[in-house]
Amino acid sequence: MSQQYQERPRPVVSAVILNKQNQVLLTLRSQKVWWPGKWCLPGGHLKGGQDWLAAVREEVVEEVGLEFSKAELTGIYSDPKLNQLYEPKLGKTMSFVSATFLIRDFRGEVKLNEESSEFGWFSIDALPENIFASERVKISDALRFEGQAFVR
Amino acid sequence: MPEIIPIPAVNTAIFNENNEILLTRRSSTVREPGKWCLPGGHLEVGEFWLDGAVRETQEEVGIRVNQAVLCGIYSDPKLTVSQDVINPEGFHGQFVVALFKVLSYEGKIAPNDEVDDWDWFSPDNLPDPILKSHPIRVQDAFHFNGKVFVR
Repeated sequence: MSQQYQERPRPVVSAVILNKQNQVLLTLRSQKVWWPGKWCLPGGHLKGGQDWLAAVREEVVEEVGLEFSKAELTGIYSDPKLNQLYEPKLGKTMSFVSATFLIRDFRGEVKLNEESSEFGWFSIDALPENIFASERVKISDALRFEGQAFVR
Repeated sequence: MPEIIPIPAVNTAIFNENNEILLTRRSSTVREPGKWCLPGGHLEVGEFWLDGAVRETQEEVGIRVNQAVLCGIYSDPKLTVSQDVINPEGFHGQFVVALFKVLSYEGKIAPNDEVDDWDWFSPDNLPDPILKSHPIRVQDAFHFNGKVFVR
């Protein structure tokens, strides 16, 4: 991968998956990935040659084993305060831009891959402490979403 | 097959009072010269999506965007991967785009050197050649009714 690419923002997708109690599915990042020990939304990089929805579907299936038929865009994000993160293992700051999708109807049971060590369903007013600040914003936006996606 | 690398970018859809859209013709200083397109360009590291759209529009066509709304996001590789153009660094760029519909702006159109012509076009009578990913964005911006298109 070229040096220059490291200096481009990387597009990522996140999924706000809600159960019937309006609780959101979060995963705890394992030692195998960047930022281990942080809680986050299922999601990941949009890979070259993929479109937004294909990326969400792939990441949700891979990371938590759930399938869905409908995902609604609730926001796009690039606020540097929330989307630029220092990664100690890499020794550098990574810059992301993201699109977040809301999923209410899903099928299957949660099944984690090696990227996560734990999962939980959390209500918005009781999110775990060690969660990315960006995820709080994405979750709050998705819960308030009324048809017009947020741009932050 | 060179690697495909997603590159975040922005476009703006600016309409005049006759519901015609502003397009520019790409000059020989940029890739795909001679093709018509929407104003836009790369999002910079650490830049808000909307700030990128405002900045690119000001740079390319000289107007100041006061108000704009997100109307679509695009990444369909069939349209957004620059198949014919290999970046000097040896990869194909895939433009991962946020499109903003401009609701108000000020200033006169004054293009920079990335543009060698500009005009207003009716969405059902777009010029040729045009960047292949752009006609659908024009249609989406024209028909936008509050629900953001995801393509």
